[in-house]
Amino acid sequence: MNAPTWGMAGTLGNVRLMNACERHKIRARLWPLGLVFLIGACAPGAVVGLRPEYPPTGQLFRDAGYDFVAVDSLQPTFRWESFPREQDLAADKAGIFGQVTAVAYDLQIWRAGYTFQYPAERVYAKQGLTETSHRIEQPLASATRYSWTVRARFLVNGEPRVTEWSMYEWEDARLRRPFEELFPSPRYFRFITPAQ
Amino acid sequence: MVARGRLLSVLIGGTLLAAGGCASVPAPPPSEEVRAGLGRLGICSAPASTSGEWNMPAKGGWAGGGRGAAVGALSVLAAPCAGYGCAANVLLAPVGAVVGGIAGSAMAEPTTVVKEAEAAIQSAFADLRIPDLLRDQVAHTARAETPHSLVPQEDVADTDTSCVRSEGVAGPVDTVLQISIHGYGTKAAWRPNPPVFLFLDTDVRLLRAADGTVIYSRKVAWMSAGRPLAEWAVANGDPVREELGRGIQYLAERIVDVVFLLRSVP
Repeated sequence: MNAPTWGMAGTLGNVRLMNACERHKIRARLWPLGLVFLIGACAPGAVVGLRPEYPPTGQLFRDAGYDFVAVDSLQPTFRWESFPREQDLAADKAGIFGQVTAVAYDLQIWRAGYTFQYPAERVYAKQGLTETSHRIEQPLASATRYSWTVRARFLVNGEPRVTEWSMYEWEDARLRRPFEELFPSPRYFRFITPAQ
Repeated sequence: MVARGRLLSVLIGGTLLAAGGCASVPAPPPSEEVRAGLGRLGICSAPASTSGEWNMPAKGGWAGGGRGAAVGALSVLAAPCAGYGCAANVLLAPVGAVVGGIAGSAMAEPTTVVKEAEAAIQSAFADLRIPDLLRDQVAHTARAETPHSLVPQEDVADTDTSCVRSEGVAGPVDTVLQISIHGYGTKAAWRPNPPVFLFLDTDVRLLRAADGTVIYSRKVAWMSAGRPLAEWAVANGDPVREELGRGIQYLAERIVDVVFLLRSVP
């Protein structure tokens, strides 16, 4: 988050040393870049890893983060996109995904703590799911907040590999922690179970 | 022209501030070339490089009152305002400080209670020999999740790369996975009686055994959910030991993921 901010500031400082024509050219290039920052990586609903289909990502509130999406059951069926995705194949210059076999999925559900709704304790974990959906096998607590995440697990040339646990791109600046280092991540997808 | 330049700077700066809620890009996992060259692997834990960091709730009514006053004043100053309303915020800040101070004083735990709880929590951290537990848990998880079997190295850590000079109990190794805890303790907001979080911050490094060269490094961290101080301190800190046990397991899983399993995709 910080690196591009300071990088851009340095670039702006250098602009004053250039002639008018160069300045004009650079400004013309910076505007689209600014728009990318505004509506691209930060767009509500942007995710890291496999995109959830159910429960959906929910609404992003600027200060409080994503809301907890109400699910329809104490044993909801989670669904997500399959792997490899179109963008994986498009970016695969080395042909790695041609060597991918045994694709499966890992699913985890974490009970949310009461402060910042940070994932507190893992209450459900399944490894090696072969479908892109899973109905959890035991009921969750009613009217309780949870986080969930999923990832692909596969073999490349016989070696086990996984994708990153899926999560929102948004992060909660109130925690003042380097989120990319934190496990479990406060950015896992959020849901709330129905009352009895 | 200068005005337009300033306007441009303000607009772009504003745009970047709007991006403040976006995630930073995580450090990538080791490349497949690095992984292919790991060879026979050792594992060692370096001693904690820092003393603990113990952020706690306010100790007693006076300290709680001070924190409450500061929070109260800042809350009033930071309230949304426009025009003369902002001047009113400044004028009302002392009122916020007085109200916050009284509330903070009432909410704060007595000094002895906080000190006893702090001692119980610190004792729980000290009892656990966290570096050794984490090293063993990483070795166990790696055996279960990867083709690698990590050979424990003697912990003779007097320098950053001393593990690579030690002899593994099962013979020499090509690469050493070194795990050091560079931060641990509690986090709590600067308020009269905030929830308290436990945390462990680690440095994970792959060292070439032949010369100690660092071929990969990354930080991995765990933080518990927040709980009131009193909940952590019951039974002489047993909830802390229990939570740290979970945290060590989660950290070990993450370390194995990052070093051996994770593959970056778009």
